[in-house]
Amino acid sequence: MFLTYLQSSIRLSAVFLFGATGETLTEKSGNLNLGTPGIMCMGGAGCVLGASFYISMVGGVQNASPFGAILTTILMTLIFSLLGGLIYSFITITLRCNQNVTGLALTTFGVGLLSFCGGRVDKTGFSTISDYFTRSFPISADPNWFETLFLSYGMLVYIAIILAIIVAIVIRKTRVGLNLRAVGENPATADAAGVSVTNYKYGATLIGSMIAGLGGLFYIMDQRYGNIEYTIDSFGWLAVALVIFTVWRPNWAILGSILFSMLYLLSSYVGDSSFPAQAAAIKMVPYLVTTVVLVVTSIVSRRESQPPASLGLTYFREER
Amino acid sequence: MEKTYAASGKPVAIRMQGVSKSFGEVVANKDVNLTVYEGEILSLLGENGSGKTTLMNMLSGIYFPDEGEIFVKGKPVVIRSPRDAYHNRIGMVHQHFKLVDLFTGIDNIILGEEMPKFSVRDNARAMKEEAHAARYVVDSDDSSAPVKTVRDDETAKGKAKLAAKIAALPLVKFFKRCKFNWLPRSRGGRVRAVAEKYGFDINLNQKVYDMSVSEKQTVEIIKVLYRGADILILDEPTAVLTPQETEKLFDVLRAMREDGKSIIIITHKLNEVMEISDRVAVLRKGEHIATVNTADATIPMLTELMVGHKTELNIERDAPEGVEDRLVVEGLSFTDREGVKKMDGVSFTARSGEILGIAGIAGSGQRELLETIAGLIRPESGAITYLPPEGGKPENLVRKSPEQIRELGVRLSFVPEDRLGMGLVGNMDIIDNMMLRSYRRGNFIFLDRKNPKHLAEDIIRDLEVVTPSSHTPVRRLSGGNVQKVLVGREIAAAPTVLMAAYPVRGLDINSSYTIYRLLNEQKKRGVAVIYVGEDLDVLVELCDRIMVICAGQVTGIVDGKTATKEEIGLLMTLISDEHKHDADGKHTAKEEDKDEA
Repeated sequence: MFLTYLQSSIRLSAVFLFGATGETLTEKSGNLNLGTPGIMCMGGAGCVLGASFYISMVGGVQNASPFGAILTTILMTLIFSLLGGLIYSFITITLRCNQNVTGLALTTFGVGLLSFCGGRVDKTGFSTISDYFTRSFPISADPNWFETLFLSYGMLVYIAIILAIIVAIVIRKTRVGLNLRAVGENPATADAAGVSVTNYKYGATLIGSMIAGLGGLFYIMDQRYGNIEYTIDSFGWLAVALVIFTVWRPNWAILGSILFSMLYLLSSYVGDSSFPAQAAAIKMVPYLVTTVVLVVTSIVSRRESQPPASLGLTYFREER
Repeated sequence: MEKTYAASGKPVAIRMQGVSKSFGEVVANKDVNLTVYEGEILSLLGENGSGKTTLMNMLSGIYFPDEGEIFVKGKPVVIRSPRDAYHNRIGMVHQHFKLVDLFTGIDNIILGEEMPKFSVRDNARAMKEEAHAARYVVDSDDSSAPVKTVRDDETAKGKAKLAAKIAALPLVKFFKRCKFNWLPRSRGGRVRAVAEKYGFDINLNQKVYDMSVSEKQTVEIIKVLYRGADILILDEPTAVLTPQETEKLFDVLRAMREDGKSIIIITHKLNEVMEISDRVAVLRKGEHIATVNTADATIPMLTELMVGHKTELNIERDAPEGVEDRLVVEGLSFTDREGVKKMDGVSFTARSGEILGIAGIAGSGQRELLETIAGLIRPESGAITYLPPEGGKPENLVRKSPEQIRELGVRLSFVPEDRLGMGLVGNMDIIDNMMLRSYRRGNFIFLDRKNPKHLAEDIIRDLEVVTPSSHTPVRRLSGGNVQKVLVGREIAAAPTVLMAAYPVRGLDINSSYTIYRLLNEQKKRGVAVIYVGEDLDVLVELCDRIMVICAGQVTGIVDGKTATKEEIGLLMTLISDEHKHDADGKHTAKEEDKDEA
């Protein structure tokens, strides 16, 4: 029982992990992208459109090939989340508008776009495409604990973990990461040192958005087996909280996301199902934990565990 | 274009011709011509707001000139970004250091460094040429046999080898980029080599937030040198340094001049100009007034060039009259939220009819001390006793809010360091700002606007505040005028204690002297004046007594008439042994050791 609980938690953690990794990358450049929940929805919308487009293109789900289906859906997901990131970047970086307002508006937009697209496409055959995504490593019919915990997931879970590790390494161990962190901490300094603040902000926000968008794809195609779910944004908010929880470290987010999804799923494994209030209360725990972490980090006030210093601020070189 | 030589025979490093820059309607620089030679130190002299920093920011790529041309080593250049400036070997140390606090010194220095150029096409061409070059092969002992010429690109094997090598070039480039991009733990090697070459003694592995101001400046200078700059611009480098640290900096600069580098120092301190520079360029109101050789210049002459008319640069200091103790501070201690001890047993007495100067490196606790007296900070221990004039009942001011202090009848005026943050409200006009101190005196619900209006007009007239009207928001006024409004308001409250923190910071010479005059007037009226200053020359001239604090401790109180700058400078870095390991005290303790050695 605990094994299945852990296994489903690890599986669900991918949606948090995609969101948190993308958001961390974005925030490291000083952009507080509160549009991440919306961008995850837009990724979901892209994947829905991509899947139905592919099915109609090959003329029915019976002709679908795994490679083409996966490629088309991922590509459309990336394009849609990239568009979301572009909207956000253009408004906040080029036009230097308020990041919070832009992000919140983008979230509303993304949620709307997902229900708009999701309600209008032909969903027959989605379960077949979902099968391609959920296909795991070959494991025995009666898997032991190792196979259950490590080999039983679809490709997207592994991609999420690999991406988190790559992003963590890039941020900590490369010049690109050094420059990126400088842009987020003190853009005027980075600029004076010859780092293009605009390019780094755009780059980090766009790549971050694309990573976050994969979260929407994962949730619809893997977690929900192709059923369109319109509440992806609630996972997006938890992903934003997870970024704070892991003090801007994607490698910690791997464990953090598992913890978050354990808390998220806790209500379906423990407690009395006749008390719905109890389940709702348990679902609040992740937010509560994040609040506690915020309080703790601000008390400890270690400089390294603070948010990037210029998070949420716009930068203009000739400002006086 | 050929290298241009000046009469001195030195090649020209930089020439700026007809450079102009304006921000909206404000003209910062107008038609400036400036020449810098190689291997010289040029001072850029001017009052605040005369456009020195703006001009230099156009060299370092922060601003882009509206008009004019810039030549570096005789070639016309376009500097659109700091990166372009580095490509032209120009580096600038900004007044407000551009460092990421969270990074180590080394990471700050290598920040933004570019990969050495590696062009696939150029390398391919070089390989082709190399392969095409004839090799002469002597393969027989017979000396009469002809020497064979072999070209690698004529044999099949050579051709294949060449093609493979060229095909691999993009891959080589990719690997080079990856290798460059990777930050190994040992990344500081080249940085340290540069630091050693110029004899900098600094631990570059500590985080910048642990560094002292002079260490941060050293990091900035090493950074500029590491990026290969031949032309260094330093913006007010001595503003935050003690006299001893300044001397050390000047030694470094002289060493760099010997190395053939051009150095531009922005400053408004005349004695430093005379000490360090070879030539002086004077700016006034954004225009280039003159460039003179330092050897031919005198301080009065430079002042006249800078201000535009002759100014009397003497601060009068009358002997204090009617001296009596007004404010007795005993054993104040305070630790801020970051755990830094900002005040450690501070005790002193401020007397009426006297100006008490407070000297110290910025951040040594001056601000906290004044805020404690003003009732904004609650200290952990200590007492502040106010002795009213004409022998009233002594009052303890500790742990009382500003409101309560006023209700006790203590007339305390405070000119804070942060004028538009703590002193005035930027978006309100002069009248409303006057009302901040008097709004309680109105009727039942309606405010009294009449008296503040009179007061505002009096201040504008008496202190010569330049403003369109008394209804102009104060943030639109220049720094000097803002300060006049603030000081005027505080003085109008007829204080018995007047505290001023850095009241002349950012002010031009004329406004500064107006402020000194006002402080002196208050002193004559029997006010106990507490003046926190950074310019030691002024402190020595203005104050009757000078209290020196270092890392929250009073290291000495000296007589203003007999004290020397060096004496104060030494006290500024002097702290007792048990505090050597305090974060703030680190560098100062080191300095002290050296001075003794």
